Amino acid sequence: MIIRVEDLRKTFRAPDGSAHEVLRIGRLEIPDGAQWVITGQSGSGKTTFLNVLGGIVSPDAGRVVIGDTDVTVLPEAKRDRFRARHLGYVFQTFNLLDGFDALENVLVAMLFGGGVDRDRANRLLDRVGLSDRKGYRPSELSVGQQQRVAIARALANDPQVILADEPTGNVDPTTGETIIALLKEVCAEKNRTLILVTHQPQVVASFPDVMDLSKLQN
Amino acid sequence: MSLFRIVFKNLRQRTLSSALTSLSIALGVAVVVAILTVKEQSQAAFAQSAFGYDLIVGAKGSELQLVLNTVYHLEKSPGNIPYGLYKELAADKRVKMAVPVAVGDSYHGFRLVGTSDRFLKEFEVLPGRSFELSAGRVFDFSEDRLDHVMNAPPDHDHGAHEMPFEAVVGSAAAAATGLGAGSTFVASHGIDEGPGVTAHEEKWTVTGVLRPTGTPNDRAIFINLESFFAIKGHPKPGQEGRGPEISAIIVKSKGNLAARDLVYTLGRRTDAMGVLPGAVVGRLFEWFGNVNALLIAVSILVIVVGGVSILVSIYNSMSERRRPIAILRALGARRSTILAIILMEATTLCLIGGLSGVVGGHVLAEAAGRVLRSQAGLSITGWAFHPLEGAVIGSLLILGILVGLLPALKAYRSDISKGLNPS
Repeated sequence: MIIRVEDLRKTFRAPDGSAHEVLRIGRLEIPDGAQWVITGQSGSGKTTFLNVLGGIVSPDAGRVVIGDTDVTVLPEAKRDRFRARHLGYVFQTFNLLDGFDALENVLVAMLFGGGVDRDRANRLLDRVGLSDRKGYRPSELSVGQQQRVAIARALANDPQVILADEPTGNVDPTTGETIIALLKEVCAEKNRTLILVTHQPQVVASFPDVMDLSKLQN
Repeated sequence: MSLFRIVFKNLRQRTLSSALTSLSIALGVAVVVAILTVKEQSQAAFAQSAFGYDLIVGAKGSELQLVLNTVYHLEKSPGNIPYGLYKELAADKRVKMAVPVAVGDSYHGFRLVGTSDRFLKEFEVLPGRSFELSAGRVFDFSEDRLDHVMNAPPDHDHGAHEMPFEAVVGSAAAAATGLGAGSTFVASHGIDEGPGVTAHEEKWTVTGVLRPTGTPNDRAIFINLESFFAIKGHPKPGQEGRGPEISAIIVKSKGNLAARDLVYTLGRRTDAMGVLPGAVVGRLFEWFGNVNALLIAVSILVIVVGGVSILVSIYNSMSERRRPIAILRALGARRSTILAIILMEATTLCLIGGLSGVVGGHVLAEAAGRVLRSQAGLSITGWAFHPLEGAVIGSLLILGILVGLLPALKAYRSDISKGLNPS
């Protein structure tokens, strides 16, 4: 899916009441199947950009078109459904559900997307190397394993776009390398678009297409 | 995976508070269900126990005591009335049938009721049903013999050589004591058991055993009335300067008007009164009704407090649940889905409490039923379903939705990005 961004604006209000513009992007097109890393200084709006792409945060102005769908004009319920079916999220803090085991965390994502398919969920966990950890809860897994579960969950509904927000921010460098390699692999396998936000130089260096958000803002 | 599974998981993560809040609902529902179950059946059992006759004549005093003693074989007899009154009533044109009753002795805690064979042969024990024997025959009774005993000099010694000492045993009494047709037994003086209770010399022979009726009569041992007055040690007719006396008279009148007229006539006497057992039982249940209403009101309050505690429990958990709710939203759950999950949690807690309460209420009712069965012979089971129980469960569903609404709306309005990045 091609992602097009046009004249995107987002301003947050600071506690003292002052307005703080975090996003000001003129025009951007991310090709189908691309693997992009977005970097930038702290506070440059990387996470906000990702959340706007994912329909979690609404922009003040501008458009985000994913495939043929302008997600910025979709009513909230339709935006939720679009996110569930077409976008997969990987977070820095994994954001797994504590009371649910690895398999159930993947199944929950399926519940809101394309429908629950236990076999597929098992296959996804096998794919990320967690065949023997499916019944483990997040607290019983290492951080690297937790992020693998999060990747399997992001793939649960066979999305066209994977959005990863600092996926290696909470893991050691070696595990981080493995996570990045895994993300690239699973996205390349089915030509999915990967947009990864990070501030870690070693992660940035591993991607051919790098977009510095600080420089992109006009 | 389903929304129910998510609800179940969420509740299990807060097992203690979920259990405690459900327990408070369960307690309230249990009391309501127990009251509904016992009240309905005991009212029916009390009402039908008085069927077959419409008037009881006894000593002036407590009407309730007279009815409890004569009909339900509970309490002590309020006193005696002249035997001559029985003769008068038997001959009264407003009376279809009158049967004398004398009480005061017992066997292994089961009360002896001295009466005439007409009580067992001609009265209906239940609507359209007379007493039936599972074995043997009704005791031998003679009105002439009764007159002879009643009019004999106080120092005259009657005995087994002069009249039969026979008994017909109620089904529950027979089962508990082992008495059967042909058995003999010796009665105790008074209705209490234990040390200090003296046994009479006379020996009664059981001539028959009654089939179960589900009434207090199942716990009685009926003896021919003449034998009651022939017992050594009992005040003999004419002793203590009084004429011959009995405990009560059970009367079947020729209709409602006749019964009321008899009550009015008897009301002018100083030594006796007539009571309509149906009216006394009605008043008793009116009183019980007020107590029940109070208990039900308190129980409903307990249920409401339980509901509020569910509200507080879920509402307070909302702060710590911002993140999991935001995760669900990020995965594509709609606001309405989150609203539904929280409402389902509240209604599930109410329903778990409600269903546990229904089971607990029936167990409680069965325990109460066993006490009433053993103490009063009333046939009451805790396993009867009351139609209002369905309404109780329905009300709990509504309560669950009401108490879940506030936290559900809080969850509904929560911001995904703030929930995912609380810092």
